[in-house]
Amino acid sequence: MRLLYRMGRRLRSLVRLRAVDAELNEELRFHIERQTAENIAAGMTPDAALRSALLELGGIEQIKEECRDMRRMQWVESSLQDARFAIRTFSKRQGFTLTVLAILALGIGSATAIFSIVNGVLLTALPYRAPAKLVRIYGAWEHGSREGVSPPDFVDYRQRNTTFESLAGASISTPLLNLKAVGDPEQVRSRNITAGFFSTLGIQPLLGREFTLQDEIWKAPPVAILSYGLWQRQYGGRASVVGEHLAINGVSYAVVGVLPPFFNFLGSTDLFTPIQYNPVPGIRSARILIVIGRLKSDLPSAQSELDVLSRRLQTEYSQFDRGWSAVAAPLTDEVVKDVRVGLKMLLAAIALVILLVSASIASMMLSHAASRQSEISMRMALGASRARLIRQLITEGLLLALFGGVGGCVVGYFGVELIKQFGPVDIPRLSDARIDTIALAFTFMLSVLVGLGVSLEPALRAGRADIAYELKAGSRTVTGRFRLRDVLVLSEITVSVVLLVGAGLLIRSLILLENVNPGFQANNVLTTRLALPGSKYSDGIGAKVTAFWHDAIRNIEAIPGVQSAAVTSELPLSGLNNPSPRTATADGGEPHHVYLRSVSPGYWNVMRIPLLAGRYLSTDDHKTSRRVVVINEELRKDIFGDRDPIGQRLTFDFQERNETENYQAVVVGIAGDVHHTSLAAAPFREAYLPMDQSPLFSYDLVVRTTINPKSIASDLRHAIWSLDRDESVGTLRTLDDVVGLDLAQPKFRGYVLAAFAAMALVLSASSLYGLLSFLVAQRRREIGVRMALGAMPADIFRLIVGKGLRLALGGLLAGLVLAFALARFMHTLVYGIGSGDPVTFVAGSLVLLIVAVLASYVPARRAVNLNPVDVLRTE
Amino acid sequence: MSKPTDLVQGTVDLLILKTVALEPVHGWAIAQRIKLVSNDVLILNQNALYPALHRLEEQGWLRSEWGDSENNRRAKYYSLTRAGRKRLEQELAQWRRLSSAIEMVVSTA
Repeated sequence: MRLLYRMGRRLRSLVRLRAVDAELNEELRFHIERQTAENIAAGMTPDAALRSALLELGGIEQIKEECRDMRRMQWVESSLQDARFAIRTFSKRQGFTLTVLAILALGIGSATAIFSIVNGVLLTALPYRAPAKLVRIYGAWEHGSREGVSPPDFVDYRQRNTTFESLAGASISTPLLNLKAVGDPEQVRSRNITAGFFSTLGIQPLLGREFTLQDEIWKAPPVAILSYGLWQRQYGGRASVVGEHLAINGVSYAVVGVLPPFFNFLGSTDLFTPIQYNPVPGIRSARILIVIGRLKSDLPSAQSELDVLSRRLQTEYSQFDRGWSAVAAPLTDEVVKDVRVGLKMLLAAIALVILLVSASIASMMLSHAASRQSEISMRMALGASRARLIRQLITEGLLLALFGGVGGCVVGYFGVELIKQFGPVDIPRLSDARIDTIALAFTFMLSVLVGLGVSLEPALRAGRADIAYELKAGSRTVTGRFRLRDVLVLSEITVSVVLLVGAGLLIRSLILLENVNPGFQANNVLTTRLALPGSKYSDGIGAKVTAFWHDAIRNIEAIPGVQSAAVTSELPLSGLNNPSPRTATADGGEPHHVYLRSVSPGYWNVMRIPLLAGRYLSTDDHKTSRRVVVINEELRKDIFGDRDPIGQRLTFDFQERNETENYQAVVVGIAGDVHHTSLAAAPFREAYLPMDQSPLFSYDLVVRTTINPKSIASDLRHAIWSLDRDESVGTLRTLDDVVGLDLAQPKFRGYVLAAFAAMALVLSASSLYGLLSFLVAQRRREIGVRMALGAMPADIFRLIVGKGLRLALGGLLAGLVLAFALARFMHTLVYGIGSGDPVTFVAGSLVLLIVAVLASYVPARRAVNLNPVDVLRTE
Repeated sequence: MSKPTDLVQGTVDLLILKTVALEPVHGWAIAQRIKLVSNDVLILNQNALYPALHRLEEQGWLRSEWGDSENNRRAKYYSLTRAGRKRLEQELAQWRRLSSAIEMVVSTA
């Protein structure tokens, strides 16, 4: 109580320094008045009385200063004394201290690192104005898939809605374009956006303006907005850039604006151009826009209005919009959707690790305190007050935690750097993650909490200590403390089991994922994306682009070491997917969603995708010959079932330019399925159209080599440049790297959790070992007596190992229940097995039990090897 | 101002605690009472009085509150806390041991 009272006073003198000073003034003034009155009563003149009173009191300021000192120094001095004493104690027990510090630094460090990542990615609000009001609107097909929204549909929503402050759109695809401005020519990632895109997000351009409705008009003068980074690179941050022109794929664009730094919307983009779509009817089925909206009020009312509007569109444009509705979802969720579950799991894991670290340090402190009991009792006998001892112990705990916290910051800093270096590149905003002040505050609070937590028990015990009893030599009853240590070790084992099972599930998923056959052979393939400028290659019939791609393939195939080369509109696992699936309908059948790919004839040969029936596309499938298509196995199953698809006709829901009939093609072959979006996602229906019949301006180039694929990089660049010196060739990657990237996130999660689990296992095993060793040391006499009375070594062995196993089994049981409950939350991270996978649970239990037996074995051996005669003589 | 007797070091606390133990009292009255009771032998220097009061309060032996004084001025009254009472007993016991020990040494020598 007195401690509390003093804390209160101290706080008061800290917080209300001024008020306390005023009180002091008042007190001294009263003294002078009183003394003056006394002096007058004794017969002095008032003047003399006051002077005498002042004189007697001495220097007023000096007294005030002394009074203030009294309040401050008392606390600081004894705290310093405590700290000095604590450090002396620690330096006497270096092994103990260093172990505790190492555990704390690792525990707090990994907590800080993961917290910084999660904080950067998950907790930091989007740098948009009022992000809670932002939603993303999908085009939702009645058969389940969620896609973008087509430009004309978007315009209709924009005009007809009343529940949104504003609606805006951005293209799903971010094509690479060739930019020539002031600096070196470069490939830039671009995105088409609608008017009001940035104001909807609440972003002000740094310079100039954003796009207006005039910019959206088909064939309006081309304009562009630069990202901050591109502006810095190309113009060195020159403010007069607005109004200047730059060349994008050979076309001149006027710069109208520059964005502030750190703008990021679903990945970083260098350049924005207004979306200008050709107002032909078929464009209504091109669902190429990510639509975002700023809500006027709430999501449900906006959604019900979208339902009404989309039903109207379905009837007005039934040819294109039948079966399509609009679904709104909060944007904050959307932007971090994919990694959110994984990050939350890491956050939960880190909480468990902290728990474990605290428990294991607490149990170390307990034995530390136990071995100091006589010292503490001695100090009490010498007159140290309990409060003072408790404060001493708390100071020790806090000091350990603070040093551990500092170590943790260092470990955390390197941890974040390590994760940025080797972590998955596709965690959004990972590059922004750093140890920030919030993480620092978090670490600090964590260390203080851990410090208080672990010092609590020894401090309370010291407060209760019965001096005479503890000082009596040979008193060995320590049951209370043992019960607490049992609970600590038990909970450590519980937490270890949870982490072990979690890591097991992820690692098993990872192994299964790594063994997934992607449907193609990834080794020895080099790939890059090429984009041709429309200005140079546009001729209305696609002859120029087709010729370029054929020439490029021929040139590349002439490079020594190259086996074959091909192009595809979207490389599997590259993160690119045809943004808007089409429907394909067999004669007399139902329409099915399919993804269309445009490929050159050699594609399957390069990728080694097996042919299941019919033939691959060939060089004979050119512009004017019969339109053909190769389908994948998924599509065959779903559309044709048992029928033979070869020679059957498929009708797609789009038209070629200048045609009025829907596109039709005859199935000539069936290719094996390919995991396109990710290894974890099942293959989807795909239809391959020959490049000659559906030429595009940009393709992924795939080159199979007989030698190390990277070694042909410069030859490949020259092969392209020999056709067009202005063409820029972007990063060259091997297909192995592309596939590896798909596994990066599951690997990251799996490895982090595995590291945590290993740490947990080591900590809980050493705690169990420590507990049993302590038990054996404390019960030497009892064991000696038992052996002297005829107990067999096996009995003693059983006694100790049994104790260890009882704790392990208890913890295991609790851990399995907890793990089973928690694992359900990570079912989206688990691949190929259920979240209650029995193999993982059994394997985890076995690992734990083996470690527990090992940890119990050594102390048990020590007990068995005790010589009863020695024991009884020394005790 | 003369100092009739230099107070034995460490006895200031005892004198203050003892004086305060009877009833809540303000700083000036503490000095006055000590002077009175000791027949003007012990004069507690004001320089020492107030810092000591503040220290004792800081240590939790004393508590203070503002109240009206005999001439209707607000004054800061000090009183003993429970811990202060215990402290007083300890200090008293120690003082008795010390003074009787000194007395023995002085009278036998």
